Amino acid sequence: MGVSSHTLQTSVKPLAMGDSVLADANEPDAEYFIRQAFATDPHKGCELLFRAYYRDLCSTAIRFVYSRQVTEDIVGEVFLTFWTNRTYEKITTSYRAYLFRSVRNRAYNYLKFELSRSRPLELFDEGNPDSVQQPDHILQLDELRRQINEIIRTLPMQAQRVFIMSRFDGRSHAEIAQELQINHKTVESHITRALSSLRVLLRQEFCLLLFGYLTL
Amino acid sequence: MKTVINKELLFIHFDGRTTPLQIELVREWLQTPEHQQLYYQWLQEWERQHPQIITDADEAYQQFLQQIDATPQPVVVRPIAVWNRWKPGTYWMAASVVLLLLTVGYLTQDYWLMRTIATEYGEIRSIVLPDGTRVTLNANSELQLSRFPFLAPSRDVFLKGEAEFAVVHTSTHDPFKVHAANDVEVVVLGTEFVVNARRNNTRVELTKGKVQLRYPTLDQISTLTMRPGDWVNVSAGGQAKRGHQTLEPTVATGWKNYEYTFQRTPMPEIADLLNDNFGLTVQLDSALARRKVTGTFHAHNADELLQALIELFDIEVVRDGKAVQLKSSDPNQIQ
Repeated sequence: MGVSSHTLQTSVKPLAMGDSVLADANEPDAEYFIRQAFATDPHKGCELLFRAYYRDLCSTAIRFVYSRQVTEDIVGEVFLTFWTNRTYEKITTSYRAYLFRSVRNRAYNYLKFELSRSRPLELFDEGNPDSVQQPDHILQLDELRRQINEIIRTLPMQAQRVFIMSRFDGRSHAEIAQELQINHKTVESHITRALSSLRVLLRQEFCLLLFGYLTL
Repeated sequence: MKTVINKELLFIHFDGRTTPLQIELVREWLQTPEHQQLYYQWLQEWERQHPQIITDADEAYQQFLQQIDATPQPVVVRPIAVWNRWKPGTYWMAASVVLLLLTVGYLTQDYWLMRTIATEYGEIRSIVLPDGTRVTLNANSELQLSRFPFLAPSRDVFLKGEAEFAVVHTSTHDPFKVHAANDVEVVVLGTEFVVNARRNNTRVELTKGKVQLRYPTLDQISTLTMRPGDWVNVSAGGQAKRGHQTLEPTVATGWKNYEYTFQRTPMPEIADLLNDNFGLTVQLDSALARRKVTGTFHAHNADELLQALIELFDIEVVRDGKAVQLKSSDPNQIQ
């Protein structure tokens, strides 16, 4: 590793730190080739990055937003922002951390917006990819994801199916009613109920946050 | 480094099975920036082992390519090295003349490359662009588009004021782009939406389909995907606000039929509207400025709208040409 990290420093300088971290974890530096590609041809680098992480990023986002469409939009937005702002030139740690962090932040923000209907968009720290996050913030998102999972998991069987068909697959109420052979009204009430428990969850989340600020 | 945090523990954490004490350990462990890197590395591994969704990365990547084609990266102008190899002399002369012409051409390109369509106060006009896209311009608005659509096949238009767009999808999926105030860009493939770019503010309301909004913030360009019913407001400095309305879609485009719908709209906003659309300068007294208006009004001109307001409230009107003063007759009245 010593030799390769030395050559690394000359060609793609900023990576020394991420490299040592990964060495600590006894992991080969999976992003080495991607970084090399970015140094010579950003298009190629972006493609490699996209193919390497797209699926896992979608998987992370969908645990929050539970909608295929929204998930694809969010991951797409993150890559687009990454590209248009040439963020890849600024990252000295890992692309992975940046991408996962941005996707999680955006997913969280989307939920807040969706369930409260109107709110100022927070500026993401995407412009400053190397900044260190508050551990609280990371854990807060972990907890939120766990609770969302719990809420949907504990819905009655039929309600769960309806919710997922409507939200995840983006199918219309009429389609769902027909396929499950149930009343249109039932479909609606299942969805409303699921959404309102999510709304309650998020509201608690905000209160907690606010409370945290007040006591600090 | 001595720590009890390892991949197994984090995987348990991602599964949501950590105890509060373990979470405290994770919190402490996350204080170190290197550990945050590791956290995301393990998160990815965990996601890889527990995928939630089947995705088509190829198709998504193709879409991504289309999007980056529509958004060129900010170009960094570099000094041209070739110049160094040229000998000074006549070449210089020729070069400076060419440069001058290019510069003049470049600076005036808005004039000779662009066609401007503008509406007067109180005028609403519908136009069909060469690609079939229908644009309805509200009063006192201006739309600039390419004079030579065959030269540059881009579908870029520049808007001042307010307009509704019904964009036609082309067979080659060319994006249609509206440039509005504060460098906000709305990128579409085929859809219906309203853009209001007045008063240093851009508001986009989406009726149908999907658009992507790009706007500059402090140190980067932000991207946002809008879905039907969403509205986004970007004010100067890249402050964005997003919302969703369950109102009927006709509210945003009511002006097309000379209809104005207010929902608890503050009077000063209506004064702005009278100014934007009809060129009236409206002065409100402090009591009126606090009032809010709800209702749908049908008005072909400023007078009709004013008349409706007068009927709604007890208002005294002092009019001097384009300047209007509105006073509530009974300042103590509470509504």
